Amino acid sequence: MSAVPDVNHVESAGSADSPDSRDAAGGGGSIQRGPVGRLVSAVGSGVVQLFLVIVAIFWLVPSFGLLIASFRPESDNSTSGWWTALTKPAQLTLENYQNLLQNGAITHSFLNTVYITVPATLLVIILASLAAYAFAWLDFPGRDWLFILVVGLLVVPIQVALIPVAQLYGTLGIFGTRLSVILFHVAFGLPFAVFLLRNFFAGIPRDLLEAARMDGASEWTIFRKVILPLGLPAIASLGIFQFLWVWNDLLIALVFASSDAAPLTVALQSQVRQFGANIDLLSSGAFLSLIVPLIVFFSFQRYFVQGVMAGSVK
Amino acid sequence: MRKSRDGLVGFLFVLPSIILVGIFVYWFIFKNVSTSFDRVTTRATKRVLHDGGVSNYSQLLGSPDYQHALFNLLVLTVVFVAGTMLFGLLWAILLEKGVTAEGVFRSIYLLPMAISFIAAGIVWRWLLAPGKGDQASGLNQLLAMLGLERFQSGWWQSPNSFSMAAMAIPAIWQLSGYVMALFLAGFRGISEDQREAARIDGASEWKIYRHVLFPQLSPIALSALIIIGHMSMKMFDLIYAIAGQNSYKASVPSTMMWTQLFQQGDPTAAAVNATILLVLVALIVIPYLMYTNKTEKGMRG
Repeated sequence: MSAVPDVNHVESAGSADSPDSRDAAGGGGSIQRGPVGRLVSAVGSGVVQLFLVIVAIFWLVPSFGLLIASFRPESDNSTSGWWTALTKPAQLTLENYQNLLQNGAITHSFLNTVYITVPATLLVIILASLAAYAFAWLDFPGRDWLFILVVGLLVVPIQVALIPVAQLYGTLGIFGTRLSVILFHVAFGLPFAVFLLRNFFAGIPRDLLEAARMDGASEWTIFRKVILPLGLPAIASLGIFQFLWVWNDLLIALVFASSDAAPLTVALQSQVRQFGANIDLLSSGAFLSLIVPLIVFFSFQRYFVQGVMAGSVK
Repeated sequence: MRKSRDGLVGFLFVLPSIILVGIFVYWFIFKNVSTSFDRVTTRATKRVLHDGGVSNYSQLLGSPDYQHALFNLLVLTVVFVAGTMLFGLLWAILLEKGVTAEGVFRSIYLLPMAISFIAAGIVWRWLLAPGKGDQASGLNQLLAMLGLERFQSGWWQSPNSFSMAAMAIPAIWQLSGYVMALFLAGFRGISEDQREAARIDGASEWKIYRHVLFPQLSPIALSALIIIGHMSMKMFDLIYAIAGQNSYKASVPSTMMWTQLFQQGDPTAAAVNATILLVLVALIVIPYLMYTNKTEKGMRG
């Protein structure tokens, strides 16, 4: 069943200074080459480096342009491109951000994003790690069958559930609330979460669990004292992914959140629709929505890469 | 003794997940499918909107709007998959050789993945603006600066019926780094000894790739293909953010469903649309899961 046999070892592939990457770097030189061969490979690696730099610049331009535009006054943005700021940096200003932070609708929606994302992430982590531990290490009737039932949903398009869930929320009277958005995110986040964690937990050495059981530890104690600490890398990468999905989601929030509960993505979208050309508010707002994911991305990059690889079967 | 305690605890541990997933997903898939078979008449005039049953499906499949959306989806998916695979594999090959500042390049290529489709959409709306000449902005302006005016385009708004290919550009920008990371993991999983052995046998670099490395990467290539392909079929946010909410030009089944639901107030048609989407995704993913499950069992012997 384990479709991610290697999750435990992916870690080292993620960090730039792992011994593996050093080996790969040195590997090419281990066979003697003549001076011509060395020259060819030196020119070759120069070309490769140049190519990578050019592509990297192209890849950065959209985000960089957004950043610069967010610091330019509206009058400049409507008359000239953001790159003119590179030669005339005097036009840069914090005004857009001041306006943004005074815009009650935007700050309110930013808080909504936080109030939705944090519980939706924590709940998925808690529920999925409990379930993953049980699926990996506890024997109970119907275990394999239930596991297939849960992870079989990895690929179900959320569109399928939009209409009936909206009807259910209507009946329960929670339509439009943050709770309704959170519940939907948790339900649709669980299959992937259980799948990822179960495969990681299954790789924890059996001896450790047996030893704890011998000492008379309860399953709950084993879960807290053995599984959670050892499973932390997988839990971290799951947490990052779930966090980014919920933080960046538009569709679910568009359907279920009333304007009072709407997160930043929805608020930004409505700005696009209303004014079309207000790039100063949009660019600074987009950057406000980016800043938290960027911090998460750069602080936990190792786990992010690891999660990407573990998700390769998603 | 042990077993029965295990059983109870195990069951309690999975129960919350099972309940949530069971209600939210299974029950609602069922509800959605049953809605899709409804017979619907307008309240005032008793005019029949949907005959009910299977004919609801032939009604949607036969409509030119839906066929247009399906064609767009095909174009988008082909370009999106080809683009991410090409960039992802190329970068992985170049980076795994060990270039200076490898980590920096990897971060830059992966970075767009952390950005929401809506924020990306705000940038790309502008980059893909269709204006030419004095009106040019974004990519068209860049092309003009490089003296390549003849490559200027209306992008996704151009009259060409393959214009949806332009919508794949921002998607490729966001997800090529992901495919790169998958391939890099694959390369790192292949031991250096195998390459050494091939080199000692006098194999050229190309032959090592062709006969030693690529065959071992094909499972990863397949899963990358499936992941990107099914993302493409479900894509909503990016198209919504770039083209607006009811664009016919850029419509795909998942955005069309939005229009059916909120613009036309027709949940039955939307449910039919969603069910077809589910079937399409399942047609791609289930054979893949069966295949990987089989090969894994085979490997364990």
